[in-house]
Amino acid sequence: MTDNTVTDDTVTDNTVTTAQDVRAFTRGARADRGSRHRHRRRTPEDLYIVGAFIVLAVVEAVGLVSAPGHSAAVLGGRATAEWFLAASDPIGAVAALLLALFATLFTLTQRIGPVVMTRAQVHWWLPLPVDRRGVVLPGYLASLLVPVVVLSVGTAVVFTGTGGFSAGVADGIVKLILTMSSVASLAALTHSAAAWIQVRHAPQHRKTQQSQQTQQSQQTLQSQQTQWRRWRAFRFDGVERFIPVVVILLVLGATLLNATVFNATVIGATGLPVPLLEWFIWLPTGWPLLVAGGAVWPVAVLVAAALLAVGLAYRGLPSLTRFSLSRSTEAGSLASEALLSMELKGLTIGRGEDAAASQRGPGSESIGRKRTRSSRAPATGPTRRFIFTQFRVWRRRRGQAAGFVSSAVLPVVILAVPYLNLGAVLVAILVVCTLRAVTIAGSVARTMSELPALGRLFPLGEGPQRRLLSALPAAVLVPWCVLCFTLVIVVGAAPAAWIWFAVPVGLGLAGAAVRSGYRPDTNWETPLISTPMGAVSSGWVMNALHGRTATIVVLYPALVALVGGTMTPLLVLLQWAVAATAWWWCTRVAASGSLSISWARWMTPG
Amino acid sequence: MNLFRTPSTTSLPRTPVVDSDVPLLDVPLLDVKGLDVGYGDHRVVAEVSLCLAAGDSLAVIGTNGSGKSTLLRSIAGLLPALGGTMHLNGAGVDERSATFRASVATVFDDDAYFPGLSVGEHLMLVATAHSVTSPATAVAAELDFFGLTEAEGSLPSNLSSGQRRRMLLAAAFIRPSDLLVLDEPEQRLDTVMRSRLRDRIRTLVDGGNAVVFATHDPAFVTQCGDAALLIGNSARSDSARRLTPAAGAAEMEAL
Repeated sequence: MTDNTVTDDTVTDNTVTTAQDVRAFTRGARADRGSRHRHRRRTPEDLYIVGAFIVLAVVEAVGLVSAPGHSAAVLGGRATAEWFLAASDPIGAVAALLLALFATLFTLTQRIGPVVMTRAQVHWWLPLPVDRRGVVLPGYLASLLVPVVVLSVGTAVVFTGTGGFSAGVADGIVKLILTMSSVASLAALTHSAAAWIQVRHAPQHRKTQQSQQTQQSQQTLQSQQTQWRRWRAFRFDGVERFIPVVVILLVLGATLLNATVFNATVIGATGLPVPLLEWFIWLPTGWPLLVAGGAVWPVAVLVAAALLAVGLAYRGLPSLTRFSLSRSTEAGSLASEALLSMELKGLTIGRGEDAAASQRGPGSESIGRKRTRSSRAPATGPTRRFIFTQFRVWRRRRGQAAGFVSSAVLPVVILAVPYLNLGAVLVAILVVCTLRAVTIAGSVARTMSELPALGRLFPLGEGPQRRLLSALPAAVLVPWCVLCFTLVIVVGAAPAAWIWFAVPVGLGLAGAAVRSGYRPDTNWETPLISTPMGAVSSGWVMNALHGRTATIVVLYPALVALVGGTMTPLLVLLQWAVAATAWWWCTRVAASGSLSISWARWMTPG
Repeated sequence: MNLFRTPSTTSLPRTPVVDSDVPLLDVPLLDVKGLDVGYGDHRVVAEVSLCLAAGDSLAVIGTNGSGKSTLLRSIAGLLPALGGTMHLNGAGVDERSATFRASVATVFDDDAYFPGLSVGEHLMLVATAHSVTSPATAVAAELDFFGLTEAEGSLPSNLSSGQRRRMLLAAAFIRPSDLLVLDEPEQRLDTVMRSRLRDRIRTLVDGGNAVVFATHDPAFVTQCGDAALLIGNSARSDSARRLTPAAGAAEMEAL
């Protein structure tokens, strides 16, 4: 077949296909096929993510408006929180900064890049001999636009809802534009910096080979490769562990310092924790987001820096390798699934090299030998081994510890944020963090549920296995509850007697962890629930609620005590009863583990 | 032909099985020296050295997990090598280069497709992007060869796994290339299609293309390969052995 060699007579040299042609061909062919495939361009998850950010912005705005106690002491004649609050608009730096952090971190963790393509684009577009920038561009722009648009829209909602136009429409429009420019620039700057890092640290095939051509030593080459691998590990560590841990430690440290040294509790205190707000004075005072009527030049600087960063990232797009983009795509999908399912193990899997390395190893040399039972094995061998294996598997899942501990600390961190130190917010955050901790603690149960063959490796019945699976969650969730409850008590948000609820809650949550791990497969044939942002499968909703309802039930007595402020022995007794019942209910083997369509239909309105 | 180069670094001496009477070309098509491949810090295959000219074909054989696909992915520029050098037409292997992408066609076990594009449109995309003369005619010819004419308008999601494999192969064969890298091309194909594919690869090689392929089918080794490279289940520097196609097929039967 001579038509498969690159020769002039087989290639049309009058028509040069460009990346734009490739994109147009793909888009056009898809459009011609009809509208039945167009909906795939926008997944429901994308819409819900955008919606979640907007809701977050509105919630924070409400917190800003209704925040009590805006007085703060003046320390040594310096500008303090009182000055800050008097000089700033109530739209709030905190809301914008938190949004920026959330959106950027989310983009990074979801995309692990942040430049990403779909698997089809990687496998069909990248091998084509066209300008790589042209085919990478759509993914780059999409990932850039998500934080920019979400932040801008969120800021506009907050601005409008908190009286941003009260001083006049014209003045409000100008201020809105300046504020949105600031926020959008901040998002673009951060995203582009991440993209530039991705470009800069992609495996450099060309440089490597050229260095070899110039007789560079093998050691230098391997050093480069090792550096790349270390940097990639650091990047994952940064996203996965480093940034959240540092932020949490800083805020937690400041909060506890404030609560103990300055004797200023967060909830119920007359003043805000002043040391936490002092750093605001170092922000550019002309930033219209912070100070009403301030100078505009910081916005101009920010916009210019953002444009420069976007340009640098755009310029580096052709340097991205197919390997790098493939890994980003794989890791991105894993991370996205992990975030949506609250199971952070996907981020660890996204590292790739650990999994690849663990797949290969020396084979067993004892294959073919007759198996015998050890006379030294104790009678309780299977039970002990089953429990021991749980702990070993859980311990080897890197990244879980940080997520687990951070979920215990997060309620206190939220309490440290001005305007969010409300009882209702504390309850909501406690529920969310508990759900996350329960999901992490139940990850081994989840694995056992997904791989029933693992359970058959042990000579134990399904019922005993289910009960034994609660050993690990109990061992980690009881200390988790003690830590979380203690921190809440230390900052003054709950009376000391609330600690009596920690142990029963932890034991009850252990059962909930097992139940959440053993959630059945989603039944996609159930009716759809109509929502403003598209149809949602009722089977998916039922699946998502499986085990989480038990978590909330177990928490309920403790939350009632927290909100009511009364810690009676009867409530503690009730908590023990609820925990015991929940543990029994969640660790039993149900007759049928699948969601019935009739249940889903019953849930569906109309 | 001299497909293999004697490793320059320390390794156990082995008697070359392939004759080395034919001198090397001035600039070989594919020149690999002391290549180490693997994942992360884990070496899978170590110190592979080989040299392919136009019209050469090499069968990479070995047990499951021995590193055949990893080696091929590195040669295709899809996986960064842990060490060593690779050159295609005298230039370093860099899949970001449009020239490299125009020269190397690959088929790996990548089951990803545009959900809205039909089989014919996937092939047309590749043909037009590679500036193939009369792309519509070429698409029709490949569809006919791979038995996909009736599935031309079908979406990949509606095809069987074997048909999707045929589509991937058609996409590699429809475009011009200097080097064709195939990872177990016989996967999921029926007996008749395997036979036709062997003939197609042999014809391609005889026409001047270089082909590197991994396979578990001895018939592919003997019919399509000019030489075989046996990859061992070890990252030792002597884990890759050079064999004749017949010896390679015999080793496969023994494995």
